[in-house]
Amino acid sequence: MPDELAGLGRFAEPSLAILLVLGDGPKHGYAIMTEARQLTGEPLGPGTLYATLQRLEDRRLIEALPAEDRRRPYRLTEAGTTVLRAHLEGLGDLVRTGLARLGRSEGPERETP
Amino acid sequence: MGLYPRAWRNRYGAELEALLEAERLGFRAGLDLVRGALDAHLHPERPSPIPVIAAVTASALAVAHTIALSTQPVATEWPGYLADALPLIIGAVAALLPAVIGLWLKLGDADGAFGRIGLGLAVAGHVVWLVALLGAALRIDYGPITAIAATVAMAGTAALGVALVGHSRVLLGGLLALAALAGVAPPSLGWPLFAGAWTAIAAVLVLEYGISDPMDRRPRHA
Repeated sequence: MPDELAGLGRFAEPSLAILLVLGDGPKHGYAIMTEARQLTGEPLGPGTLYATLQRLEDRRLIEALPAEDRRRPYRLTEAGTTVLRAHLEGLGDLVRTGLARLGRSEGPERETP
Repeated sequence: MGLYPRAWRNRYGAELEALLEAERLGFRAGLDLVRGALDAHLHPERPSPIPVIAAVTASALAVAHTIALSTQPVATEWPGYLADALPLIIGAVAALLPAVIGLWLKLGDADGAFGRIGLGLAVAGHVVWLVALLGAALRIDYGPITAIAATVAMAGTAALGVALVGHSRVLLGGLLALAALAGVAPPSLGWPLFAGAWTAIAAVLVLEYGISDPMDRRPRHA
């Protein structure tokens, strides 16, 4: 269901980053923000973070766990895991195809059109 | 934090506060928070009834305006034919503004360039149209500005209609495009068609709002 992320418009990339960060277990907002920044190299602002968390919850791709102090951890749902896996597999196919084409174009028998 | 709606603060406020205490905010993150607050107002937990109420009000005023035009002694081909029914069309245009914004929100996050350009034109057009009509009520010459603003508003409305059709909202998008077309048609045909199209849009919005599940905040096209 890769379209599930595409339908999020400008929130698609932050959504992918958050789903990736939650891939190895539940985390609260601050941990998600810092790990997403490390993972993508792009800052994830607090406004975008919570707007994206809201959308992912709406689509039942993540769920909130009981709050610890004031921090509330989030975890992937089954649907969220499925969407993330499908998206990554799609990206994997794209990467393999791209590398194969690049390999052909850089080969010794490269033909000019 | 105060910029966020109360319902949003009740749900996410405590954890956002905890996050803000742990991280010193820069200017860019501050702007991001303001943008997030605007987003929270535009995408509330329960869809706002304001666009629906606005569409119903606009359609009722447009119908009343059409009836007033058809019963007045001055034909719509005459200059100044709008003068007597001016308060009705001023009210209708004022109500159309939130109605059009509400229809744009139905495009969800993937509104696309077409939807955003349509919204920009529709909002700018309706605002200038409204100001020009208010100027007319104060006896300030308004003719060309009103015509240009109304045309821009209709161009934006039409673009939004096409964007909605592209998002599988064929009925709503088609009616909106029809309303836009009516808005630039000759007055004797255009006003009744405009009022009819907006009445149908209002009916669709009322039905949709009535059957919407408050627990399901996903855009209907998703």
